[in-house]
Amino acid sequence: MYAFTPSAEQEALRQEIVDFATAHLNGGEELRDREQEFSREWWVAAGRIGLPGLCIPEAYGGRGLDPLSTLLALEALGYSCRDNGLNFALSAHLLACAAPLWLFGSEGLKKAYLPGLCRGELVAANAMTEPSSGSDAFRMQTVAVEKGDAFRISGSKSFVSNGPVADGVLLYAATDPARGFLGGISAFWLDRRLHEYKAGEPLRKMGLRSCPLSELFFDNMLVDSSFLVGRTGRGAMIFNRSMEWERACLGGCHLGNMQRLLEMATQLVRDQLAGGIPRHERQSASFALADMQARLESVRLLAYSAAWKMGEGKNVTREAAMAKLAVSELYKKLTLEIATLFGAAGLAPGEVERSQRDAVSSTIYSGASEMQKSIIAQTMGL
Amino acid sequence: MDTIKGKVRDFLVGELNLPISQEELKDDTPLLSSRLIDSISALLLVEFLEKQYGIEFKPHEVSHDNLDSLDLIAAFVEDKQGGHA
Ligand SMILES: Cc1cc2nc3c(=O)[nH]c(=O)nc-3n(C[C@H](O)[C@H](O)[C@H](O)COP(=O)(O)OP(=O)(O)OC[C@H]3O[C@@H](n4cnc5c(N)ncnc54)[C@H](O)[C@@H]3O)c2cc1C
Repeated sequence: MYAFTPSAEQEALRQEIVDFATAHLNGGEELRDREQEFSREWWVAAGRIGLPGLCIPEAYGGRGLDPLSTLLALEALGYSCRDNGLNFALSAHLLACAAPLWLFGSEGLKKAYLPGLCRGELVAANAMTEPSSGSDAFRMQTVAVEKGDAFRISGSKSFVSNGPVADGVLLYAATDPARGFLGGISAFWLDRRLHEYKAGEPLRKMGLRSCPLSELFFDNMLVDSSFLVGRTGRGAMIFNRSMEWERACLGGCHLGNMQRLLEMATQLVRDQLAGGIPRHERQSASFALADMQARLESVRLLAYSAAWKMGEGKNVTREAAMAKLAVSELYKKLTLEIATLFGAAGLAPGEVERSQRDAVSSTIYSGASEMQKSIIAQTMGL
Repeated sequence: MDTIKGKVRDFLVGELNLPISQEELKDDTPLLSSRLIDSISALLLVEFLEKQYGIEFKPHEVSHDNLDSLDLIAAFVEDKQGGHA
């Protein structure tokens, strides 16, 4: 059984990230949210302590963290960096792009791209969803036709996080559309400077506005076989593995955000009590906060246990889906409940209001909640 | 043959937690076509077989024809190891 206390290294890691983010990754988030603005400058700053490469081995420029330490690091980031869009952009880059490149890419691709991805010099995006395939992602229309030592890729992708600013893209395309999930999908690494694709305008959206999303368009784009990630037909496996990393670890940002909001709301009620409001008059708020603390702790433990099991090299299909489902559903509810405690102030532009908007999409990306339930049900033989 | 089936049975029931006991999982129990194994588990099974037996599935080999029962899996692995496939 695993221990429930973080190791000394994990404590030190948490403190390092909290100190760094508090000092260098806060300020201006309201403006970036309003303007839908991605900040390269902050991305580079995050690279100074290796946030974009937390779980990538040190040999490739990363910090070499196991999944549980990665989760704890992202929780520290979510707790101390108020820009949830930046936190999401970093996590998607790390877990759905850099991690699968490290796990499945050729040595050549890893050496060429991972150090830049880990140090904050490069931004990555992963492109799976299409206008006509979301939850049923493997019914994609984007096709890659092999011609000698290269592929010709045509199609389009939608809702690509970091899409407009990415230097590298992990693209999934059908190499054998009829086979679909079982052997029909392949993964490619695209280099913005080498491969001719177009990124659409950043989409307007309600939350995570400092992380730009866009469509990507491929018109008979030529990609050399050396940019294939893994072998032909391995795309589903690669995508599945990257989603397991996301489901197990990305929730760390949400856990951290929830903890910070909970502490703010707790302080608000404490101040009211200190200001002379009788305790019995604030009991409903105290009970609500106590209930939130208990629910937060229970999903936190679920996430920790999934990440721990993943680090043990065990199959975590069910555990990662359960953690993703529980953390994201709570995130959406808790941000709203906390805002309620702030009254009208919870609606004014600011952290409490922004977090509600940022939380909404957490039950959609990395597989919507219904998809997580479907995965869990399948592992139960249903 | 028996050891391949035994190891795969252990993996399916012990590691992938298929909702079936070792005893109930017969050599000819349909795996994919009965939906006992879902698509994600099928991919994990392929990864396991490749690592365990040092074989490589070609894209068209990741199919029901080779994965739908312990009998088919063992035959496929043996073929690959014997260099026939
Ligand atoms: C902020 C954000 C960032 C994203 N980033 C990326 C990215 O970087 N790369 C990328 O490729 N994609 C990205 N996506 C896309 C995301 O993966 C998809 O939105 C998601 O997979 C759902 O697909 P969809 O939006 O087409 O919804 P749909 O699949 O159309 O689903 C709509 C609703 O129907 C439900 N539903 C669908 N099928 C079933 C079913 N069989 N049973 C029960 N209910 C079902 C869903 O759960 C959902 O509630 C992002 C999305 C968001 C919101």
